[in-house]
Amino acid sequence: MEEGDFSMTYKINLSYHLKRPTLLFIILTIIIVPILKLLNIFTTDTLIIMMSFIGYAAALNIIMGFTGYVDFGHTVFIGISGYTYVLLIWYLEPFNILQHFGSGIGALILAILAGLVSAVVAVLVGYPVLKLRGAYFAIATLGLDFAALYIVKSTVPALNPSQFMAAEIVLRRDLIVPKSMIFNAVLIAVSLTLLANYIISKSRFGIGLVAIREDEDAAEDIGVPTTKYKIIAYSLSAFFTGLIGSLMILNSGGVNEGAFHISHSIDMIVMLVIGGLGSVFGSILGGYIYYWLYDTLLVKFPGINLIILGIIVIIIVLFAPEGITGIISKYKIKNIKLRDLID
Amino acid sequence: MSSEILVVDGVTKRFGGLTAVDNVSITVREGEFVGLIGPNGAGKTTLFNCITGYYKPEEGRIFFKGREITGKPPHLTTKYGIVKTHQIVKPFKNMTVLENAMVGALFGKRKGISTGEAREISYKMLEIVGLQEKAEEYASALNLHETKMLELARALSAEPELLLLDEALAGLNPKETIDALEIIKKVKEEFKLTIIMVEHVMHAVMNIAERIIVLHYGKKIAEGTPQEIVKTPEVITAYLGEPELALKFVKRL
Repeated sequence: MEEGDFSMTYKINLSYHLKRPTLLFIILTIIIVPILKLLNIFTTDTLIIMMSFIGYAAALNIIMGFTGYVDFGHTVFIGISGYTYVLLIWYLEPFNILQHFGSGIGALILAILAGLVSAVVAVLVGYPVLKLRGAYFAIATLGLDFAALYIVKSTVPALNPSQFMAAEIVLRRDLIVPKSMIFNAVLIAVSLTLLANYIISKSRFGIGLVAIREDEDAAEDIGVPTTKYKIIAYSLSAFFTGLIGSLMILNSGGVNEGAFHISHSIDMIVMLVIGGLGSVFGSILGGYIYYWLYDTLLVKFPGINLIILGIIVIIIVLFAPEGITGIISKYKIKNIKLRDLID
Repeated sequence: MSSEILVVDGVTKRFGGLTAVDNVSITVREGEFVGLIGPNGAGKTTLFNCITGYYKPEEGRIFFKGREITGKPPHLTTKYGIVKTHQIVKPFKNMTVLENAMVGALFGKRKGISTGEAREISYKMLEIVGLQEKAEEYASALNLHETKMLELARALSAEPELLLLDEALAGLNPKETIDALEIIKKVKEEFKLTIIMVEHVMHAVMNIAERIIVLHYGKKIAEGTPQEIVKTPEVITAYLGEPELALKFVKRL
């Protein structure tokens, strides 16, 4: 073996051999949520929404955190998958698919299909859109969101099975979807999203994405197939956003134009920035903290909750632009760099 | 007898009305050390960018080891074995020094490399350029000299056969320049590299290069050994303008 002479000769610093506990943290998160449910500390509904926040942050992290493309139109994938999902349920209703699989698996399988539709859309629009950088990409994604909304508005009323007016599709009233079933499906979907993030962050693909974020031209020059990687990252991000989004649509009992509303995109971006871009740990933390802030402010300061939330977000971005993980990773405890623990 | 590794055949690259590279043909043999010089705006970097595929030339063809690479994107030419360092350093700032080099190893010439192997290769390259102490630091913490060396280590980690150095010495102080030249000589020997170097630090190019190619306003105006080049009237006019100054320069050499 020609590279044999390199091996064993060069000892790398210890910290690289330390097992990084992010995976442990992900697993803990996945275990804690059902325990919280069993202990009735939070309602099932609260946990579903909290998990979805974490999942959205982690899904957006793939394109915005690792790859560095700020996506203001990311909610387009909630919309696309949401509509696909509700239509799938309507048209597959005769097969009684949601009941057949029990325990949330049916709901999850349909959500995966709906997520795949978003992934395909992302591949199709990704090639032209991802040629743009910085603000231009952000604007293009906004345009994509508006365009998709317009298409939905003009086509959905024609094939709306729930016979509602306009572009709102509700589920059949006799369709019983227990919260615990949605809970299971969301838990699995969010776990998959977090694990995908973890695997990406440890892979050659992930290193390539980070190189693109840091300097796209240099990355291309050193051999990273930037166009291909960006499209894969974008469609993975779209898939997981659509996966979780469609389950949340199921949770709310139907889909309407609101799924395309830019506020969802902004929520996702803010969560990720609070937690720290490019870090799985940051997605979990950001999703949770944002949910907690959102919920607490809504209860304590109804009416002005969004104003306060906005101010808090401004303060965070001003004083800790790298997010919570950015602050944490600057410190050391007994010679162990915290950066290594949360990386 | 060494064979031709790079053939640039009549390449022209225009930007709007400006012809940055005008019908340039060069041939580089395996293991050669070629200096590419010319006043600012002569088209040196543009020519490099045509070779790596960052730009697609309007006319002409480029061959690397007998294979046509005209217009092939940079990530492919890197895999074929052509790697460039940047005139304006482009480190991946929020990655550690070692991770920077690892990108080169992971996406360079070698296929199916594991992160473990990549780490070993990268670490070896950092040792060669003298950055092993800084392996765990963020690239943003490096000074210019170190960043230039990181560019070199990253390029070497990709295991190139043809290394394009775009002003690798610009901005370094005299001692750093000498050190960097030593390193460049050393890696050329060790990895049997072919090198084309764009450089403004004249005495450095004249010392190290076996052959010099001079570009001026996008055209190749001279080619030869350093000794021949400094005596070529076109080069003296293009480079130094003032004939008296030129004479002084030649005498000092």
